[in-house]
Amino acid sequence: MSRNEIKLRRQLIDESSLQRHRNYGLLLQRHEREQRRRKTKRIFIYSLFIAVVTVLLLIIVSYFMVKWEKERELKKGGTTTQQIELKP
Amino acid sequence: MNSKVDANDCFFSEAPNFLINFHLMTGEEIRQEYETIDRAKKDPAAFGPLYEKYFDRIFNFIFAQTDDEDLTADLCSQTFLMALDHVHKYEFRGVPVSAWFYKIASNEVNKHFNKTKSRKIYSLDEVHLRTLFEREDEEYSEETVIRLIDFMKDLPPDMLDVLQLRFFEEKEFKEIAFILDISESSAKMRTYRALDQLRKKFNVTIKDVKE
Repeated sequence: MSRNEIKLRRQLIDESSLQRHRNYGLLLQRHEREQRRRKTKRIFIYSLFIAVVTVLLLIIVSYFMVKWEKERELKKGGTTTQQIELKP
Repeated sequence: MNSKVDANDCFFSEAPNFLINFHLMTGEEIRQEYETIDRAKKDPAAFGPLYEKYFDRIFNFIFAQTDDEDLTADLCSQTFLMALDHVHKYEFRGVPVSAWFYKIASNEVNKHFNKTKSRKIYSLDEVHLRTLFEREDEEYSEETVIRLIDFMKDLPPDMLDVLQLRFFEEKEFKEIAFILDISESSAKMRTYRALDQLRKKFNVTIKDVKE
């Protein structure tokens, strides 16, 4: 089997066929649509990134808040116990 | 930038106008095209003249590799869309803007054939072949063309790509290297190897464009 497929073309494409396919207006429209799609995609990715970062920040902050709250509770509890012990 | 190619150097001096326009380009014209690209970076509508100028050539270049008009229309439209979408990244590399279009077109065609897993088609047009034979004072006959086609069937595809760009699109080696992403010396080597094989097989001397 040969490596390539070679054909002999008897005629060049005629001007009317070329004219039929040539459409700069349509190309510009597609370009604008593509630009809009890219812009939307970029905005979506940035929003998603910001959302992820915000959620992560919230998780970290709430983790430390809970931790800090627990420590405070423990400290508070410890003081109360000491006071009870001192009474008798 | 100051590369002016004389019309007498043209391999296909009797080829239709749209096939030889590039070879009459002066450094000034190349610079003007580059300025058009610069304008298009800010305003996409400025890209229009380049589209109008090169549409036919790019269409024919793709058609020669697909032999399917509708597919060619899609790939050609995709080529110019890619060019327009990436025009802000375009940098002058010492070759005409058309070479950039050819490069994108070539990539789009390869992408299509890789996706469909089908073999690339090379269609030689008779008008060009006749001009080639006339220039070499060789008699054009169906038999010789069939032999030539048989010979080309067994050439490596990368060699065919170079031959197509060199003899049917009349590109300079520098441009061929840019389009196919190979070195200039590699483009020359592939061309001369193919011509050498052709000489041996047909006992004819096919001159290179600039020989």
